[in-house]
Amino acid sequence: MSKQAYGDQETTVQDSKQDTLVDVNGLKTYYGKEGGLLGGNPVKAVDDVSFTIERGETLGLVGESGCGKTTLGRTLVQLESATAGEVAYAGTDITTLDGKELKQWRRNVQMVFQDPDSSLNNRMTVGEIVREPLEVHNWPTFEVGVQNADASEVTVNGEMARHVAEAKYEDSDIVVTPEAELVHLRESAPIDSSELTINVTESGGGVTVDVTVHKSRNQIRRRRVRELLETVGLQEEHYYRYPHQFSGGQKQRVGIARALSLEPDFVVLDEPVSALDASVQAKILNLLEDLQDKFGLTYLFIAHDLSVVRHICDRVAVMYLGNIMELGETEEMFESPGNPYTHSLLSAIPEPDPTLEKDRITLRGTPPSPRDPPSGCPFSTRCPMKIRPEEFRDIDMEVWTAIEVFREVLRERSRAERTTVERVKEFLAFDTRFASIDEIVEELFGDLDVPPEVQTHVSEAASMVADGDEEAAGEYLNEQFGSECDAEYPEAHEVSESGRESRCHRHKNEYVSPGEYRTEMQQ
Amino acid sequence: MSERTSIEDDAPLLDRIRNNPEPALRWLAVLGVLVALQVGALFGAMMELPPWQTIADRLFGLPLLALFEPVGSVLASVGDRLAEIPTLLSRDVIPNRGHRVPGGQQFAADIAGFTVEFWRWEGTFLGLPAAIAWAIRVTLIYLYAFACLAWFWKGYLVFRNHYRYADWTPADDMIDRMRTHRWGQFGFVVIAMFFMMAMFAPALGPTVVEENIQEPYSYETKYLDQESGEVRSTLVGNANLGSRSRGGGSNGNHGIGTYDDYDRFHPFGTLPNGKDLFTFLAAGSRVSLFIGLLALGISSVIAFSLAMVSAYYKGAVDLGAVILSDSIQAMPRLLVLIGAVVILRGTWIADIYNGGLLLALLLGSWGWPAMWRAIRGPSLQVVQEEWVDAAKSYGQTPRRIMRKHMAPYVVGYMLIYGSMTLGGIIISVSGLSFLGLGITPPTPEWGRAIDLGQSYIATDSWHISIVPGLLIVIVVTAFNALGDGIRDAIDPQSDTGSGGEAAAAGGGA
Ligand code: SF4
Repeated sequence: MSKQAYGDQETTVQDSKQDTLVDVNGLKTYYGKEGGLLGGNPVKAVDDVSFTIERGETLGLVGESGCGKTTLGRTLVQLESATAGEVAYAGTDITTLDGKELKQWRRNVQMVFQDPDSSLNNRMTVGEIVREPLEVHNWPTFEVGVQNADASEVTVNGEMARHVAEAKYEDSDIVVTPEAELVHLRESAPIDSSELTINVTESGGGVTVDVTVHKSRNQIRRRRVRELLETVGLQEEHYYRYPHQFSGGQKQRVGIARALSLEPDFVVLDEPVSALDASVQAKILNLLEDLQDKFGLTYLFIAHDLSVVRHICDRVAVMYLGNIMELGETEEMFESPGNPYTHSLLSAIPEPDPTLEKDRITLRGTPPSPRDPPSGCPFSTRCPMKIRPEEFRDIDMEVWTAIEVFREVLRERSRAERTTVERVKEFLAFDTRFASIDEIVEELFGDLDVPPEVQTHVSEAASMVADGDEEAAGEYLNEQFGSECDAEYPEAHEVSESGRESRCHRHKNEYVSPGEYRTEMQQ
Repeated sequence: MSERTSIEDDAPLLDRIRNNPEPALRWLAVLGVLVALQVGALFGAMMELPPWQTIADRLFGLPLLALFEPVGSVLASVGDRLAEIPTLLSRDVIPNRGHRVPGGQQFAADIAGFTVEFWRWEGTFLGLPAAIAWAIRVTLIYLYAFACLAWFWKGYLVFRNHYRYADWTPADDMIDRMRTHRWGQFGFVVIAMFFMMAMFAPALGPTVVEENIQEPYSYETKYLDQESGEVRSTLVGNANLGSRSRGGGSNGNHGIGTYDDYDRFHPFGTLPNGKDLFTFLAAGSRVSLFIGLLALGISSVIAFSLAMVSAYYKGAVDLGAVILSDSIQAMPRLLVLIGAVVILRGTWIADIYNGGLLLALLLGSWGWPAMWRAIRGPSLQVVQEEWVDAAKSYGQTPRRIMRKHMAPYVVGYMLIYGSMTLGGIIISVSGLSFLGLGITPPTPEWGRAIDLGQSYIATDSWHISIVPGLLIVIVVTAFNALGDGIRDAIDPQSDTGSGGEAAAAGGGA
């Protein structure tokens, strides 16, 4: 930060990144690292993610449950520690903070949790709940800046006062001059000038400031809590009530009041309305928007309900299997999605007008295990727009789907552990689930009109499986039917003027883009 | 937020009472009565406990304060005078030891085969027979103790209804559920009586441990000699020899609620050596309770802190705790206890409290694994709650998280398990004493009474073993009942009869 006199009352621009509050770079959060007791691969909950959050904006984070969005949010508030990568908050990499620095930093960032039943300790009164962060940080401590004096010669005395030598004018709670004058009391400071006595004495080149506050810390805290309760739409009398006595919406308001108590800049909202009734959701969302305007907050809004996201977010990041598939302006993304995964997510939103027939993209199966993600594009095992090799571009959608399912089955089987009994049975050539490959093939391809070249490959693979080598069969199929989607992790492509980015090979010039492909499919 | 809210700052409790003093005053008035009844005992304790003389010497050595010396000595003499005020529950106010007055028979009749006699007595309360005087004292002591309990309860209600800001707290629900839980209340009342017995043991017994049990040959007792018709005096030890219970017939037996030939009343009869069983058991309850509470305290502190830490940090810490507790539990508890007691027998630690401290330490340090196991589940459950994450997110320290956000949810389970374990500990101590390994003679202890009476169990002197045996059963059952009550109070959904509690109840050796 730049050091400057308070006199000119002007903020210098720190650097060019002034508007970026959070800068996430190559962030990975893995669980159960190798060498743990259970061994095996770690769960790659967040796998190499980069993005920025601008000051004052609301960034949405959407995806199916289990895609790692909550873990990402928790990593940003340091409830999980990052495995690799960095999270720069206002220029500081917070993944390296610990001890006192970390605690100090935590004041800036708060979280609102999903389930208000679980996020409030129901043995504490609402007052105690909202007060707790204040107590943890020994709030209030007034930051005192002294104008027209050399910072090194200033002493500030007072139980609740702390001298800040290098702060900007508007960041200090109290600004005084050596002429014993209170120049500035921050408007949102939790105290009135009438409750404050400030004495400035100049002696031998040094300036001593004595700050006396005519209220106890407890009184100021209680007052602050009462104000917060009113701010979030509760009443002062609720101070002595217990969470059990409130409705879900009211509880969430308490949670919000707690998150705001330390005047944070950045708030992670982890599905804050998904546990609430539809009628209450809108009220809470409006409250969140009002608070953002009032206090200049920056939000990361985690959600799986896309209509909520459209309502509140400026930009949206779409997450799948620990990766961000698409990131850009909300409205634009809803109008013309770029990534195939975004297409399928958006097509699942129920249309308010039932007469409007919509072509829904139903995804088959479930996301693969984050312990063992696909090697190419994370979405490649389920992507309905997956790129096919040249020679198979024209085969029927149904046949192609059957091939994809067949490959998926083989992948699953080679991954599944066989029990000893099954191994013995297999050895003795008994019929086990691993021997019934013919049935699977019959079920998948039996009713279809399979082109001969596909048929040969499928039979070849099936015979390999019958010989007990699933891995070889999988590789064989990959060679025949695989494409760039299976082989390479897709780059982020810019897909709009506003700089929206999407990870998909289809954005390359040589392929049909996802949007066009979808129109083709419909015809 | 520049406009300040108009609401006044919270009034402290004292101000709230000042605004509406009536309920508090009424409650305090009751306290006044209760204190007045025992004021002598209170001042006695006050005059004895702090070294007033030394303090006074120090203070009055200072020049200025020396002026106050007369005031000080006046205070001291007032204090001594006050300490002499008779207290309701002392043995002296309602004495039960005395002897019949020669020729004082006032009434004798045969009713339904029993001879009912009524003699005038000397030395007893109002000249009443020893048994009646004793019964009056015991009743008064229990009434007083229950009145104190009721006073505490009333205090809680007064606070809750008149002075508390919160009109409802989660604890209210638990307490209200407990109020309708008859089985739990039964347990509570029995345990309260057990505690009172331990607390007031010296005043409850028909005689005193020191005189009757420890040093019977240093004290005398007076009685009316039947043959000569004169009042005589004899050593307590000699009287004990004449009041032995050894199976009846020519060996003698003094059963429940009988007088011996020395005008002494024995509510529970006598021991084989002629000592008073009730006095023995009342004193024994102190020993049992001391060992039980200390052992429970030790294992609770270990188990509770370990449960908090292992649930909070999980992983390796939890695994370490599992291994440690498993290895302790894998050792045969009774054998280890016996071994340790035998090894440590001659050492100084075995002498403290007649071996009671040693037993408490051993039982405590062997009792925590079971307890930790029982509360590990609830601890792991509460640490999953989002409010723990919330507290972490604003930088609350692990210590405070454990204390504020985890402990309140686990403490109830501790109470349940603790009250069930206490019964087990009492059984263990009695069991060890029965084997001759626990409390050293002649210190009274319930297990020792059972042991002393075991060869007479099929004779007329069955009371020696049966009475303490029944008492143990009742107390242990009551502890389990209280545990049930607490469990139903904190967790109304839980079904009765889980495996853990059976293990706890059978936790004794
Ligand atoms: S890269 Fe391939 S598999 Fe991945 S989203 Fe694009 S088309 Fe689908």
